[in-house]
Amino acid sequence: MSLVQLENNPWFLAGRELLASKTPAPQRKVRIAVLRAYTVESCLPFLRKMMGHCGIEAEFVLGGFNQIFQDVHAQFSFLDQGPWDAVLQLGMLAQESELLSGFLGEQALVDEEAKSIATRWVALGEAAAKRADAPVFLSNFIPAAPLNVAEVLQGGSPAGAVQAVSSLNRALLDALDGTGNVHVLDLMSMCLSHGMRTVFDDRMFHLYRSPFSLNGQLVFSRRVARALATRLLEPRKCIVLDCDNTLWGGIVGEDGLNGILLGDDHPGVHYRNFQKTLLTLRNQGFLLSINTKNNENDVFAVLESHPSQVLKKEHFSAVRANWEDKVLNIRSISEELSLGLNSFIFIDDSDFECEKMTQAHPEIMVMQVPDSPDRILELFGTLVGLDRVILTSEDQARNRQYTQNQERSRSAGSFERIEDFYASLNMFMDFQVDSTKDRARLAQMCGKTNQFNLTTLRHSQADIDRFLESPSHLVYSFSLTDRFGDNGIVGLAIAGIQDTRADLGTFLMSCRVIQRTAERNFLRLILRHLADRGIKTVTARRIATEKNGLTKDFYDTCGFERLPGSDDTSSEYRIRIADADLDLDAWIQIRRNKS
Amino acid sequence: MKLEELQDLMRSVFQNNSLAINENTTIDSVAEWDSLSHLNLVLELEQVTGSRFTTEQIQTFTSVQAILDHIKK
Repeated sequence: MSLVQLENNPWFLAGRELLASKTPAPQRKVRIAVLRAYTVESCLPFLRKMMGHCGIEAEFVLGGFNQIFQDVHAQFSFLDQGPWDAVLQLGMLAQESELLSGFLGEQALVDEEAKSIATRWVALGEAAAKRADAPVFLSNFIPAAPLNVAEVLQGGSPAGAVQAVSSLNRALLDALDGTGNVHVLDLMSMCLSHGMRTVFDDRMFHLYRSPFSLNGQLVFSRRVARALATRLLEPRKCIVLDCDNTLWGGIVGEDGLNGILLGDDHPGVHYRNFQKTLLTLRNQGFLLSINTKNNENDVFAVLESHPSQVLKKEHFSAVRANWEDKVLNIRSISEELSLGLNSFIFIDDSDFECEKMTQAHPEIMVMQVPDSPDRILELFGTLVGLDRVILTSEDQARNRQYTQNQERSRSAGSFERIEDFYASLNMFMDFQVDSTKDRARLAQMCGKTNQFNLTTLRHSQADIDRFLESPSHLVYSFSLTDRFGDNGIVGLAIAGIQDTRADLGTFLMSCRVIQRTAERNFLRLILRHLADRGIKTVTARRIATEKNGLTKDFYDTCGFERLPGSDDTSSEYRIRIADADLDLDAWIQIRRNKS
Repeated sequence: MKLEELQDLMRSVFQNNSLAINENTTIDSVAEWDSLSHLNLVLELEQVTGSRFTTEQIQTFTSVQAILDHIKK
């Protein structure tokens, strides 16, 4: 289901309609372990359905009622019956602490208690992640009940329930190191959006230990499905936007620069808020592009000179304002940005364009702007591809890097010899071995890199941590700086060592730094490092995917011998380091950080 | 509320499209009707009828007859 519209959207359907709704064919099947302090059985039909609408067929296996500690630490536990794709850890304030449940305790005691619960809770999560060998989604805490007592003081006093829960949730974040295999499942913001009284049902809690109202079950199921999908599905990366009746109301070619609807009153304010949201998403690492049937000058006039325009020219990584077919335009954007179409979201108001895009490229998530502009923002609540579990500083820097890449491509045109262009880039490569401080980024690259990826092995954070610690594995990575900026950690290779032989499994590089010889210099640095450790021969392989055509001849051009038995889908390689060309290109300066 | 309406609702909540009920049906005679699905049955009944039941009422709704009797009133 790649076309997203407000009508009949599963994210808006209530209980029975949701249960009766049809889900698309699942892209994958998963098993989820649920550690819980309360009854969640009544939510499971909704939860499975919402997962289905995300394209995931999910089996939920429940731990004992209010037995989280036992399930994590007892000698026998259902957690041992993996494999698991994720673990939910659902705690409840009323079971954890009376002090924090809103009885206006003393502030120092409240903070102390919050800290101790948070530490215990995160330790449980880490132990669960290890035992289940899967990422854990740890719910943060919501007030124990709607605030009936001293309501005015609960938020107004430092020790009131609102502040107590905030203090606890803050302590949870502090206790997580933010890079591990434990993520926060944010139920607090769910309660803020929907209200404790509409989410909570006191009767059901006391009768069945099920805290949620019918509405609460629905919003809880949606929140959980969305959090899980974020981790279980490939993330979207680029949002491609139409202009007329999407970024602004009206048609700039007909209504003129001053005639379009964009401002601080209805209806222009909704388009302006839509743009502000897009800018926030851009700051979280999404790329924005324009794909519109318009004269380029008209569009640029709005971007540059409309007083209420939020998104400026520099916020867009690619612009196609022309009269071409939008399908052709989006393909050319995909090439320019070196991003696969399955990481694209396309937003347009026209039935025709949305249908056409969906038919041409079902892998693109297509979102149709609703007729009524005051509902545009609602659509964001339904797009699972828009979430991030962790925002890394890499995500935030990525936007700048793509903008810089555009400049790089432009300056490439003005050199006669490509070597002069490379030299002009002033590249510095930081070559690192077993760099544990970048562990989150290393795992992220395994999960996201598609194009320059020789084997596309999706190692988890736990896998990466094992390789980093293992004496029989070497984890190589590099970051690259050039005169336009710091690209961050962009390359990763993992070598297994046995006697005098090494085997390169993972070898990948971010598409940000393709086509500037970084990859072959990285490989040569690895061979040099291996030679220093007494390695004589290195084997490697390439496994073809739909996306890694770029890597087809990589090992061949680096002097590796292709072994018999190789075919189009899988090739084995070998090289004797003594025979290898280990010269580094003069235009990249190397800084080496040996561990 | 009519018997057929209650049957539709039960079919949806209990996720069993061939469920057939009559006035003598009780929580013990329907496999899918247990204390946990009872919770959702009550919440859906509240939704459909626009009323809110007390905890005591929730506990007495253990037969089709009891539910219909109450909702008729």
